[in-house]
Amino acid sequence: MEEYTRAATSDTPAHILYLLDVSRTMKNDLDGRPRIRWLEEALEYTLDFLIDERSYRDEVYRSRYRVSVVTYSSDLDDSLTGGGFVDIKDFWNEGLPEFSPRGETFTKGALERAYQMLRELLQDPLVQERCPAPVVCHVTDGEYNVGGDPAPIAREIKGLRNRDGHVLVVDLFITDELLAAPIKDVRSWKGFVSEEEAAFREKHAKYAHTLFDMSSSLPESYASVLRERGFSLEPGSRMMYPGQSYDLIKLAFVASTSTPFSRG
Amino acid sequence: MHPLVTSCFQLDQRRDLRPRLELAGRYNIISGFHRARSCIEIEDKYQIRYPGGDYITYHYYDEKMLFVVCDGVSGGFGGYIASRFLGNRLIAWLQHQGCASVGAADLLDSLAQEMNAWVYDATREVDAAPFLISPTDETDRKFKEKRRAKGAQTMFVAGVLDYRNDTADFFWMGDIRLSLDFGEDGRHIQNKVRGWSQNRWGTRDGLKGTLDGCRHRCSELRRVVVYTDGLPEIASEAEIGNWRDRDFLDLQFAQPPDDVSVLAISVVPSEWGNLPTLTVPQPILADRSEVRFSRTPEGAWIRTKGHVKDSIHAIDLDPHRTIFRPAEYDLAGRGRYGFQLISGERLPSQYTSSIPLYGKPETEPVPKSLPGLIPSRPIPTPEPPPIPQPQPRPQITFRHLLAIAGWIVAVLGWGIAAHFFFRLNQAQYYGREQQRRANELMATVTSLATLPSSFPTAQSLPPMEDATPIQVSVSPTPSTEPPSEASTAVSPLSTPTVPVISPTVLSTSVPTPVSESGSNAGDTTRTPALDSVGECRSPTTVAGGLMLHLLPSESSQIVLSVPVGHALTYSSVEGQWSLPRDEGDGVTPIGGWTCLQGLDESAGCVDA
Repeated sequence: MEEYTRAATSDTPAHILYLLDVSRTMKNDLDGRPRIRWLEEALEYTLDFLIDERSYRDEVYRSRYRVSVVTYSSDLDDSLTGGGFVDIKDFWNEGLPEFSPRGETFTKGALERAYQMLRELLQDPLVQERCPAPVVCHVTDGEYNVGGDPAPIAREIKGLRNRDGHVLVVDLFITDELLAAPIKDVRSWKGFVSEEEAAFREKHAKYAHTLFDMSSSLPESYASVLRERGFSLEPGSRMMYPGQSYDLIKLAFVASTSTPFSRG
Repeated sequence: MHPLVTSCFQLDQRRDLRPRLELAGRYNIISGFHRARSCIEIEDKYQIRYPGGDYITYHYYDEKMLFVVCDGVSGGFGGYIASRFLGNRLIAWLQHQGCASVGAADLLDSLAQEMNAWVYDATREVDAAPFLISPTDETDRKFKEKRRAKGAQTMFVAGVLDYRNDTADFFWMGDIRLSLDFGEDGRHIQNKVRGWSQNRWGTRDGLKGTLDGCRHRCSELRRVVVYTDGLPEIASEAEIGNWRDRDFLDLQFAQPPDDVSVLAISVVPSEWGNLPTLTVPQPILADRSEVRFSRTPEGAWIRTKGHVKDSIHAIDLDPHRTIFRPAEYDLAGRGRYGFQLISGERLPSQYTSSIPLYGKPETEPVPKSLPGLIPSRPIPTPEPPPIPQPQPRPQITFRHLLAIAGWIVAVLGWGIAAHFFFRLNQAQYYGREQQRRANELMATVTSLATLPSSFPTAQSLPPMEDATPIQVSVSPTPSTEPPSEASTAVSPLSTPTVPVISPTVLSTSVPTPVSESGSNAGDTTRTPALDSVGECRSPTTVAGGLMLHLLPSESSQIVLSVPVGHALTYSSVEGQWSLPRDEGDGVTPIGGWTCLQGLDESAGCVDA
């Protein structure tokens, strides 16, 4: 049974792959600010949290998280982390990126690149045997318009696994028009437990359902860590989050960092 | 009869504490502590003593047992500071509170207010705390400072067992386990509730979450067990629930993932029944710094308890030890030590009467901030490690500047005073002496001037002391040639040497001459005003010849002008001057000065 119980430690670090859509629609405003700025802010918040709250014990920094950042629009760019996974403090030391939105939305290509990277990663015996299951956090603001349907390759990614469990896929859909009834209190929101409850607006319903299918279910251990942080997401709810506000955008990033962690 | 009337204990967070039993009145107390594996790794890597985050302290007096167990949050900065601070404050508060006379709810309110009021002192303590490990880079420093600014946090369980008033009060925040066993019906309760780990006390924020408490009758309680969340990581909670005192004493820790602290207090020491009578080996006082023991068969090891200043130190000596030296345990100064025998079954005897002993000299630094119990097997403490700390920049204060200025003024003043003093004395001396010499010289020159140029005899001149000879000679220069660099060159005469004048007497700088016309010796040049700096004067070459300035001292100058085509030579070997010329014009002394004829009078004289 998959339990996702492996903790992120300095010996067995967690791996998180951020797949970020930087197509030109990310220039559009959300709450009076370009979406891309919200995205940058959420990424910085996440890295800061992982270093400050999760990687320090006493006065010693412990390398518990390795990240990879791949941006995509009409083409792909994985140069921010050199095409692989790097320690978050090293990534932080390089300075956080400022993204320039342009081009189309080549979602399928991005997922294919992610698939390659994860396959390579999972060939490492340490990752395969002892590390927590890798997490892919996919952030987009709209439907793909080049390359075709990304759903099949997303299924391939979800099929990859190590001893801790299958690769977890988190999808964040940044748009203010996704839900008919906006989520008022992020902390008490239980997540999309079933597709029927999601009640997506018709305009985005088709792609939202695609993302819903692409997303993994929230493991119990992740839900427990999220509870400690004051969120109420239910175990088994889909790890798809409607980015209708900055709080919800942050929630998706927080969910991606909820690997159990060791205090030792 | 109770072995101890009072007992006080504060954990030394930097050292592990093997589980130990202490009898305190009607309470049997078992305490143990082991730091997390990460602390040991830090010690190995950085060669420093690194404290664990847990803290235990208790105080028994007047049949009242006060205790606090804290678990500092190691995810933040300085959890060990917060736990120690809060533990000590809580014990002090419990001591002065008189819990039994206050209702449980009021007591809780009062404690909540008090804990929020401690924030100011606690924040100051955390802000002043240095980093035990120097930042490795700028990012590391930034995050460490940020974490320190957020303050430290701790969880705690505190309790007061008041046998006389038959009350037992407990308070807690966080996930430290508190188990209460009731004797009669075997009742067992625990403080575990959902979300409890979010409740904690912060040095900057005060109470975060819920402060809980409960009150029971002390007479109904059989045992109180408190342990931090490190213990459930090495044994199941169900298992721990069934442990007896002996099981706690037998606990072995092998580098636990988290700090482990255990405090088990049996309210009635029934488990041990009647304590066996153990023969305490009487310590032999070897000298004032050590005691020796002879072993007895029933004794497994010996425990000593020392009152040193305001701290109490309990030390279990290893079974093979027959000697105790306070200095070996970093105990400094004079203390009073009592000794107790512990049997193989870990049953204690009574303490001996106390013996005064001296530890290390008090001048050596003693870690006063973390007083407490030292284990029987102290971890070898390395010498002060070479921690890569940034060197403090020297602080230059106004006082330093003042001192420097004072020194400068003193040195300058002394220099100036010495200058004038010596110059004055020198002038007074040379004024007399050199005047005499000058007169003699002038007389000689005058007499020489009247001699035929071929006259070979040189008159003796007063020897010039300390004269280092240099070559000075006067060469005949055609009077028609304009003065030039070449004409000023001093070239030797056919007469081999004319060493003359000490460099302290003459220098070789040549002032630029100013041309003038008219003289019986051809073109002459008005000698420029001679530089009077120092004690030297230049041999000045002028168009009409060479002018020598002999300066034994500033107050006694002799100026000799030699017309072109004539030479004045001096042999330091013979100590004689010679002026080989045939038409020797007379030398006319003017005042204290002498001018040779053939040169403008004013040119040849220099004002004193």
